[in-house]
Amino acid sequence: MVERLDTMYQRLLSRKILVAVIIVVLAVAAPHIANTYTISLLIEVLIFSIFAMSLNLLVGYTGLPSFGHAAFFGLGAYIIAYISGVNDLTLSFTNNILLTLPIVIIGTGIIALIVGSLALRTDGIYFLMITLAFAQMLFSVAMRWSAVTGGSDGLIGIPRPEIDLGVWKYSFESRTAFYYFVVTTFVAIYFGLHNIIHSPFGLALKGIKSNQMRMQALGYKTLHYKIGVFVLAGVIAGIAGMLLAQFYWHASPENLYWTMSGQALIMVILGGVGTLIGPVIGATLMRLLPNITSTYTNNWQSYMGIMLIVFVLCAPNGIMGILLKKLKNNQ
Amino acid sequence: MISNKPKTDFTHPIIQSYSRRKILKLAGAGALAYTSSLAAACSNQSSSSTRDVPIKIGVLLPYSGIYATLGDSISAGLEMYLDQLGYRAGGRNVQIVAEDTEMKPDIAQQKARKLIEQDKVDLVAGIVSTGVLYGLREYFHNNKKLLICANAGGNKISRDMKSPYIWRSSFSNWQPNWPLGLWAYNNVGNKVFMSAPDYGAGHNMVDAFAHSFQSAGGTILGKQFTPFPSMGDPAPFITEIRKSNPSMVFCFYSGSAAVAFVKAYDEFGLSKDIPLVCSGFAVEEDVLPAQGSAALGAISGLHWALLLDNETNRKFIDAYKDRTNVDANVFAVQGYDTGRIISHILDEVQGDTSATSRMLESLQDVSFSSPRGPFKLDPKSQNPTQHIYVREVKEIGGKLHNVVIEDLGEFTDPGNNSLG
Repeated sequence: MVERLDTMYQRLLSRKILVAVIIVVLAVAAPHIANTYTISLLIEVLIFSIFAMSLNLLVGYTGLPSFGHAAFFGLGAYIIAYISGVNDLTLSFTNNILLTLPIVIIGTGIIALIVGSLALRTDGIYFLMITLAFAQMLFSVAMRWSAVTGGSDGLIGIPRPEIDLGVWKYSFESRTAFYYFVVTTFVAIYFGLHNIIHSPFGLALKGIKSNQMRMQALGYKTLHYKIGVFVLAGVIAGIAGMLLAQFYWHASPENLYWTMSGQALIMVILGGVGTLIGPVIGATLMRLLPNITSTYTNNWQSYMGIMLIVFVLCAPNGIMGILLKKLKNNQ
Repeated sequence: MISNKPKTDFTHPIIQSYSRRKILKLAGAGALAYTSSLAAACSNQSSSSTRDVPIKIGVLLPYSGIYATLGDSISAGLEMYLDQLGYRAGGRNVQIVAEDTEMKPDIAQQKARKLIEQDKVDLVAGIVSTGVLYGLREYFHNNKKLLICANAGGNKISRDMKSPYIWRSSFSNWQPNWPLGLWAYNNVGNKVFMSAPDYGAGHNMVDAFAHSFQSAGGTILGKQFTPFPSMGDPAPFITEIRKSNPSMVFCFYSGSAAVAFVKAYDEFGLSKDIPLVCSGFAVEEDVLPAQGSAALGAISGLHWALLLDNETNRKFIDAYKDRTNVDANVFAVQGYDTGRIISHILDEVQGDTSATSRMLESLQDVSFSSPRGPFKLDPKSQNPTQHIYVREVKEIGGKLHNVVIEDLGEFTDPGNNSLG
């Protein structure tokens, strides 16, 4: 019996390794086999995947229905715009990723800490409202404080990142280089999250989702855990926002708008709440579908809406839910 | 009565049952069939391979959202001009590939990449909102692709954010308002209260009007910037205006906000005592039917008017009405002129769209008589040099229209912020 389980595990593992190898080879080879437009789409998909994965930490793993996650996405975009952007409003202080990345992380982290400490004292619908209100507040600051944020026009002239070690310098200026930069970031965050989710911290989050009272009774300070995951999710969303701004050379108030939060929520729900790969599938669908269908119809959003309703009613665990069920039945 | 929604009305009656996209595809298929037969016919004569393929013009406009009417009007104007040429320019067939920007900078980026990298369009036209234009600036600049902006008026694109690859066929936000400020001081009053939505265009327009008005000796009693895109209840803003007791009010609004503001201005009784002077978009043909008599007497400055008396305009408005069943508006004119500029470029390079530097060069001497009057492209600001007209809303034959009361002459964007 033990032996059989062992071989099954071995087989599953070898299959996993095979899949991983294929994905890695494809990811590395992509710029050489695909056209530039496909690479653009891939970059977008990866960036939005990071964003959706960060929201999934809250919605999927901890059961916190945030409806203002775009706040941190946009914050990341504006911070990088402000420190590295080249125009008359910004500081143009540095474009060295070794400095800018920590600044984005610390900046979004501090704001997430403040917001989280306040918002997480509430639950459910109240938490949803507070996160939404905070994001909309940031949106109106971005729209109105034009001397700093460029108002409705946003901030332009954001360069692609570079690494500067003094003696050695490398710029991710070209699309291919920037693609590898995004892929690396994505992989790092994916495996980082994988480890966190399976760590005691991650397990505690799952515990909070299923029964917070019980976790408290067991002696867990659930508020601290929730603040911790809120900051983590905020920081990762900030990194995604930073990448998008660098890719577009532009940070716009739309990055902060509630529709952006909504989009991320749909990605998570469509792909599969509470799975690591689900949001990636959701983000891929959400970014690619309109792109394919919009050439043929102006009403792609209606089809998207119908699809979402069907999913919520028939497959509440999203595409990953269906896939996992299939996989279980096969075994 | 003018329909307020020309959204689906602009297709030709014969092909009315088809959507715009289908028509474009048909046009493209027709063009393809035509060129391939042409190529077959003259295959003995050596013709360059590019001649066999139609020139593709990418169009980036909002076809959904609050500015959908603008996108549709620009499209209709552009298509009308190309149709008049039989979709041919520079000795080649021309085809349009249109994409919806949804007014969102990130969607617009994606669509721009699709048009240029996947559909391989030769140049791009369109863009309604300045946020989208600024968002696309780096992409077109870095990729050395030509963009003809058919609406978005953000001053910066003619000034410190200029790119050799981005030219504008429409206006800069400064352009209609600076001359109007001077005229208003001399003809309407010397104390103004200003009202505009709180976004880039609102500030640009207020700054331009304020600059010439103050330089002439006028006093600004106050400025209010209302929430954008939705102003909400206009009552508190109207009350603030009344309290300041100005001798006139300057405003800029567009779309549904223009309807709400102008109606409230009339309902609160201000239109009786305080003249309303505005940027032309606030009382343009697309919003006038909804504003109704509330707009009567409103004075505005713009680079065109429906009843502008010149031959090109007369022909244009008749043809446009025949084609779409609605009256033309300034956005349709901008689309029409964009078509004209594109055909000029293509003629100059004889259809060789790989010659980017020659295409850019050909933009230096664009000059023709537009429905808006004499039209030139200014090489310095890469924006039109055009006449600005003072117009007043009057009732003509039971309908409200903007009647030109004075031609202020030709204006060019200063290319810097020295004049507001």
